[in-house]
Amino acid sequence: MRESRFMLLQYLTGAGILVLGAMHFALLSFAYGGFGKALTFDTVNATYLAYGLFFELLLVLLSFHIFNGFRKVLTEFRQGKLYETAVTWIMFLGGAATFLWGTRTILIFLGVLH
Amino acid sequence: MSQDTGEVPVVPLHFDPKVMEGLGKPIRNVSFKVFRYDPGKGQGVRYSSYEVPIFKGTTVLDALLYIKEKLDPSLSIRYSCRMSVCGSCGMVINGKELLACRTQVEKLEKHDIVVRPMNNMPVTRDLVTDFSVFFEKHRSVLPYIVREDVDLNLNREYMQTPDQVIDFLMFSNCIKCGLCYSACPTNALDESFLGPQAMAQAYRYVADTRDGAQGKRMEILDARHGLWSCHFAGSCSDVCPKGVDPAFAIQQLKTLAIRKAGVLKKKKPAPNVPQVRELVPER
Repeated sequence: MRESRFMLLQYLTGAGILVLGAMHFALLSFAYGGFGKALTFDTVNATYLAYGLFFELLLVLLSFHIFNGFRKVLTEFRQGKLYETAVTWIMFLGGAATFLWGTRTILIFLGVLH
Repeated sequence: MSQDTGEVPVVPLHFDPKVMEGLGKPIRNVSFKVFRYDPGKGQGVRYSSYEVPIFKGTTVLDALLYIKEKLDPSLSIRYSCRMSVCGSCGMVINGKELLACRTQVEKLEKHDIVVRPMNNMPVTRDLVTDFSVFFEKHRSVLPYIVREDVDLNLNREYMQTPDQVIDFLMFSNCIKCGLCYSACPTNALDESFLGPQAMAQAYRYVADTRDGAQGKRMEILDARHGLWSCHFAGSCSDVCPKGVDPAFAIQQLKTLAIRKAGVLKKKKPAPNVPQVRELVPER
């Protein structure tokens, strides 16, 4: 894949994280009458699925954005074919592991997994 | 009544003595701290200090040549035209990338001037740097018009409007002095990064309607250590002595790579015609 495709995804995921991150903050702080009430049993129970899907989407964006960003930074620090290939694969595996572990956590939160 | 005698009235010339100040005798002495390195002697890096008398209009290059002629003949510098055309005398003067021939000592407004070779290039000796990698990167972006559809032996000309020339004209002013390459923070970190000069030249040909290799050139640029390693610090444009804006060129290339990739693919190079001179009737 061309570098411009990676960077386009980097920009789009960055914008997405900004929007979803702001929503996450706003929901916790204002939507349910403040931070304390947002985390009560009833509120959490009522917003289970919506929150689960919301976090899953945020997780997808973060898994790509963070690890692709690291790949870019690390390949600027040092160069070399072997080093760059290793960094790319390690970052890909890191992103995949983060996504899978995060999804597992969200599924537990939703009650799908125990 | 005044009569018209036909004589041209003589206007007395009034010289402001300040204009002449510093032309005949030195204004002051300035201390030059010059980077010295001779790999043959194995002495390592050091700075040598010299006192140089400064006249009105004395440039840093003049001062360095004074040092070489009168104080220390072993000092190595590269220069040629002395009028910021050749781009040979680029160096870091008081922390900024400048051409020594176009930098007047007086205008630096300092009593101590530190001169060192350009960054991001290996030092050959004293203020002389090795441009091999710089030119290698320049060559790698195909800095010439590529037309695979035209037999170059046919001596054809390509139709282009003045507006189309303006699109790339600024970038053809590049004198390859390397100042932008030296000022680039990404080049300092990433040795494989193409650098602002090569990319500005790539844009010069990508934007040229006569060229037919935009796709090929974009493949070279749109790779690791290419376009996307530029963090838009803008120092390249800041130091360019010819007013070229490499940072702008790189942003334009990024736009072409993402938003206008389809437009580039469909783009056809300018039509070629028999040499225009043949069409103009003989006088």
